[in-house]
Amino acid sequence: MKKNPMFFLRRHSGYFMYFLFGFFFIAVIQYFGSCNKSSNPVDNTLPPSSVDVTKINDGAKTAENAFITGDPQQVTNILTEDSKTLYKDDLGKISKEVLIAIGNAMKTRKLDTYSEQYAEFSFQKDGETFTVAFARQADDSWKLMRF
Amino acid sequence: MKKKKIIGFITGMFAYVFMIIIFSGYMHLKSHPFINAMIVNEFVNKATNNSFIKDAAKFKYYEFNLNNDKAPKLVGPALNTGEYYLSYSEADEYNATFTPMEWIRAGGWMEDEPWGPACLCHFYDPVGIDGGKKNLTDRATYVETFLAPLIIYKSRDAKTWASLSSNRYNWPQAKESVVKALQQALPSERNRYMAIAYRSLGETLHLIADMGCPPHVRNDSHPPAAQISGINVFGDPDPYEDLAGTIDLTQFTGSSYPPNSTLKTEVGNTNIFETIFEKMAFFTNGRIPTNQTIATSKFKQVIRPDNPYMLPSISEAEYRSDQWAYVKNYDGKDIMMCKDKHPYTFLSGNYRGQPYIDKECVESQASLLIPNIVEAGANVIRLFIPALKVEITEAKTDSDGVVRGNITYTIPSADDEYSGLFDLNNIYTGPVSLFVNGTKINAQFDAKNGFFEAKNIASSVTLKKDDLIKAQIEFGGIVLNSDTKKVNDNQVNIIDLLHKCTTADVTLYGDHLAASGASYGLMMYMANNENLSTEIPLVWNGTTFTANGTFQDAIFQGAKSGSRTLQFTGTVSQDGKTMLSFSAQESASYAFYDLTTYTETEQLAGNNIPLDSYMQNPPYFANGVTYKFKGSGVQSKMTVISGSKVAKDKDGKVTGQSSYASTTWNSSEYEPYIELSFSDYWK
Repeated sequence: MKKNPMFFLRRHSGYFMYFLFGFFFIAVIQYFGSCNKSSNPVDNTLPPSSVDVTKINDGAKTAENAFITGDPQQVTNILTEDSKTLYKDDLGKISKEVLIAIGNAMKTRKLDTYSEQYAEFSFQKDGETFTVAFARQADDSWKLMRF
Repeated sequence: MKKKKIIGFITGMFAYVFMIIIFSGYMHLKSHPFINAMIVNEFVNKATNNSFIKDAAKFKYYEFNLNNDKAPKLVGPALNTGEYYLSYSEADEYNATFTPMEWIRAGGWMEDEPWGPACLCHFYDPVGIDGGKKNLTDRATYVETFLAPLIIYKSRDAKTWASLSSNRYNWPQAKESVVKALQQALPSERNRYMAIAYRSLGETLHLIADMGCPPHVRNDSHPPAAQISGINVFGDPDPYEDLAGTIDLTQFTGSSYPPNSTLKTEVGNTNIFETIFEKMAFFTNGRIPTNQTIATSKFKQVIRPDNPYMLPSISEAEYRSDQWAYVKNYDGKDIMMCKDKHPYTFLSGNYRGQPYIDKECVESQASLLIPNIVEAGANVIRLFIPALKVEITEAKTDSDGVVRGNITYTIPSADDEYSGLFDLNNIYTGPVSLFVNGTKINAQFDAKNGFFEAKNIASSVTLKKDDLIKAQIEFGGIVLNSDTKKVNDNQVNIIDLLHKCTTADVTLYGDHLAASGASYGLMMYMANNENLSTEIPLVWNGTTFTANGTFQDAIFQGAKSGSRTLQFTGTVSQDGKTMLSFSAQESASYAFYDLTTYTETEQLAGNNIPLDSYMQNPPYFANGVTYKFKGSGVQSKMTVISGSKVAKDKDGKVTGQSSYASTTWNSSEYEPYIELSFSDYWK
């Protein structure tokens, strides 16, 4: 039987009212707690000063450690959600030796570029240069999106 | 129940955080203002150097003070406080004071407000890969699940959004604000409308730039990661979108980075904004892939793996093994499409895997896209500038200097972006500056409803014949000049005009009295030198004319026979502005059916009759010159006034007679005037 939407809203009116309270509660906190947008946001300073590079490096270090374990599950944990989907078939096929080799090679990493959402590192292995990419997460941590 | 309230409260908090996270992913604060500035500079360069394919004539009379020391400060509505508006109204805006360039740059980031909803409208897939839909459909499920109120935004593609009324600072607003600005007599109001116009232009250019950003034209959403209640949503920032803002885009300008010749021709020849929009989107879509829309013979696209774009064909690109990169040559330049070198293939000896885009690819792709964005954007500004013309129609030293002119919309084509927007009876109301021999007259003149008349210029500057005079209007740093015109340049040579005239007549109007005390009539009309079918030649010799001769035919129905003798002569001044002296005499005699003979003789002579008016407008109107003097002073102008009329029967007996005796010179009812008219009307 098809329910009347208004019936649904009336029945759950308490829930929706508190949903709105919660929504606007955070909105007010955000409004008063945030910095104003620059009136002249045309500064093309490179790289962006608002990014906490330490957190990017922390993400890379966490990734390095995960690879060194040689455990695919540990590596999965440091991937972004999209990358988990992208690499789910391949990750099981990568040997433990390769994962460890990547981890060790990442010790030579260099942060090549970064924006507020995206960062790239490069590192050397047997004379070859490889790059990996990280993405900022909702909690400001950085996870691996490409390797 | 209590548990339900808590869940509702927490869910509400999460919902807000979630929305902020999602929309911050489309952050593009840095590059858009910067690209807008590059576009403005290119526009000014093209307009100044006359290098647009079209509209060279339009820009000949324009100057642009958008970002120099002459640039005006314009006060208008801007956004500044707070972040992440989910919607905003006028109450959220404040009066900012920016130069035109600053407004256009500011529009570059303001287009992202309201933060989130607007971003969803910044996608346009010209191919319509998803069932013909041109709006963003990638990850549509997440949006529809969590952001149901915003579905309406998501359903709009960028081309529609650019002109949609709910997008307050859109392309139509840019043009309409210019139209309104031109009608404002009050400088503050005119400047405010121009501020809105520039902001709207800046927001529109943001969308044009998005059409040069691959994810925006390949249906590829790209916000950062977010989780809610353990559900993973979004999380794939696009390398191009993110890194384009971190590289120096100015390196891709100048002669080393010309735009694509085909695109340049297409956007340069059109009069239509949407054509530029469409061409830019196609250009990008077909040439540059996004990180998640790369398909090769071995790898499918990450998104819509079974519904890939046909272009660009990566498989047909050159693979350079030393760079681990696919390269395509566009316009003589090698552009790196993507790379496929991965560390997870360590130890295998073959490092190739799923293709991706990295910083090197982004820089290479930007070198192709940025010059074309700038070209497309500069042509949008070309369309933003209305085809107006300032014209001086009259400039003369008379009456202490008079300059008249008008401001018109030239209607360059039926599909012109301003077609139908202007009230043709009120193109411009506002100040007009005048320049004499290049020096601005220190006086304020105003145009109203498109016309201006500057009088008494002699109070500011001595105006001489052959001085070069120019008119100028300015709106929001846009300066429009007239052609220079010589003072008196348009003065008609009265003598030349008189020499073209073939007919002449003279009239003395007034309350004329006969010797008997009766009325002699109102008109003492010296018959002109033309009859119904014949004429007595009007002969000019320099400043002197004569028309002497006799008509032998009847001049009206019922007259059996008759003759009329005219002796009309006179002399005008060298400049033709005064009838120095004239003398006219006419004698006529007619017989009516052998019953009555009618004889009339009149004579008028006078001097110093001033020029009253002239016409010089063939082929639609006649040439003509009229000398006229009116009022009681006519008496002093006349040296001879005489007339007599005699009627006799067939036996020669006088049956009636009248002769002129005097004129009531101070009559208010029949105010006298003397008028001499010359024309070629019958020619």
